[in-house]
Amino acid sequence: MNATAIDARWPSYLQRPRLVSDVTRSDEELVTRSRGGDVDSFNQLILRWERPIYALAYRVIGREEDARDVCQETFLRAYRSLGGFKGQAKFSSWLYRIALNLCRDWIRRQRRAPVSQFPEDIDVLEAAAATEPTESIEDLVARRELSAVVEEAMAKLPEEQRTAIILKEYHGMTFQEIADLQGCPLSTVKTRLYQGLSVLRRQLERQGQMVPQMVKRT
Amino acid sequence: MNDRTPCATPEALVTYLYEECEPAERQSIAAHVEMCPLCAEEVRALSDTRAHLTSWSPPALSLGFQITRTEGDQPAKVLDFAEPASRSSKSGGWWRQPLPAWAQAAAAVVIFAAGMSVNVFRSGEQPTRAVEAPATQNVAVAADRHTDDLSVTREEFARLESRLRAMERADVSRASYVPSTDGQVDANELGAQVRSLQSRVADSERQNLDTFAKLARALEANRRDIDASREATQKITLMDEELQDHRQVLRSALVPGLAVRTALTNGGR
Repeated sequence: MNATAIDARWPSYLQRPRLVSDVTRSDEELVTRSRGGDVDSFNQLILRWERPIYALAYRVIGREEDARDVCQETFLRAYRSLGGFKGQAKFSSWLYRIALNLCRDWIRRQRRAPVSQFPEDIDVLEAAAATEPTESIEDLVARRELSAVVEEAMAKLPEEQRTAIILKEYHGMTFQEIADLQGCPLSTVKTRLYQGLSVLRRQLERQGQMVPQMVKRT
Repeated sequence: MNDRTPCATPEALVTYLYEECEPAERQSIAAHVEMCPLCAEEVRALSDTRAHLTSWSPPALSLGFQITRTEGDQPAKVLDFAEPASRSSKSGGWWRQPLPAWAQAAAAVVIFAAGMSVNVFRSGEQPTRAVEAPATQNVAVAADRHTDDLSVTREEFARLESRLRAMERADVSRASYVPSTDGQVDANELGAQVRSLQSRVADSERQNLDTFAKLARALEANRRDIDASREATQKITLMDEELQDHRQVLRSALVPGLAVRTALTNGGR
């Protein structure tokens, strides 16, 4: 009996890989090992970075499955291009750059604004069960509504502003890192952030999620 | 606008907001924001917007990507989900890599045959007893054998080696085996025993896997039941809360009516 036949009979959650995270090695060390042909080391890097890359892709393109594909393609491209990675930038920056390029390609292919894919058919009770028990259903519903509003408002932003906000807010990058990734001056990043946040604020005000600003700057 | 200093530029406000400015610049902007209601309001609004952004999280999705190699040491061609960890350990060296099935079977046959043959040589005329005999008897036989002529043993082992090599090269049942002159070992019988043993091992493995799979399925079913129960309980709680609300509404609607009726009744009396 071969392994595939055995695996097929098991519930899906038991077929997940059991790769244990190795926190003792730095990204650079794992990259060096990977370049030497150690696939396990590269799988450690995947384990370490797949969530952030998926989150980035999802927030930029707004589609769950496509974000997953972008994430997968990012790591595959990274693996194939390991020889070309000279270590001048951080591995994570290099990975983010690949992912963002793939997102841009995806957006160009779609030729339309990213569609937010808030799961409307999601069962709130099921979602409640998946969250921590302290959160009430009312809180959960409110949080999900707010999340949907934010997602919708973000989807309406121009791609550069949205990406700048995502990299800053959700990935904690510095202005310089964002400028390097977006290939623009530092001041442009700040402008994008300011304009993006301002548009978001107006959107949220319109949706009743924020109190409208009473005084306006000139 | 502040009377003394000009309002901060949007870029400066963003720098201040994300705390990425030099201490002196930060101090200057902070001092201005304290004095300027417009800039203070702007900073507050941007901070509020940022706070709202924290509510947006991507949906949980099962990832678990792993690079897997296709064949031998060829570069990876696929990026796959949920591959067993053992498949990714091919880089460790040949001794860490799982052997192909045919090699495992051949190795089992060779080891089993070697064990059988050694027992045959050691136990003399009764090869089957040698397997079943207690360990102490085997030790005694082995001790006796030590005192025999070594050249004979070498010859026997050379013959055994050639037989084993023949069996390794071809299928046990089809091996070109010439029975030994002493007639102690029959290759067909040996092959049959090996096959029987392999079959028993395979059966046992299959049974174990079936059992584990059943257990896993049972666990999965239990998990689903628990989820369903939890869902039902939550629905009941919601319905109960709704009922309470309705009761409250009814009570608030009924109480004034009752008061009026009571007043009318009392007045009538």
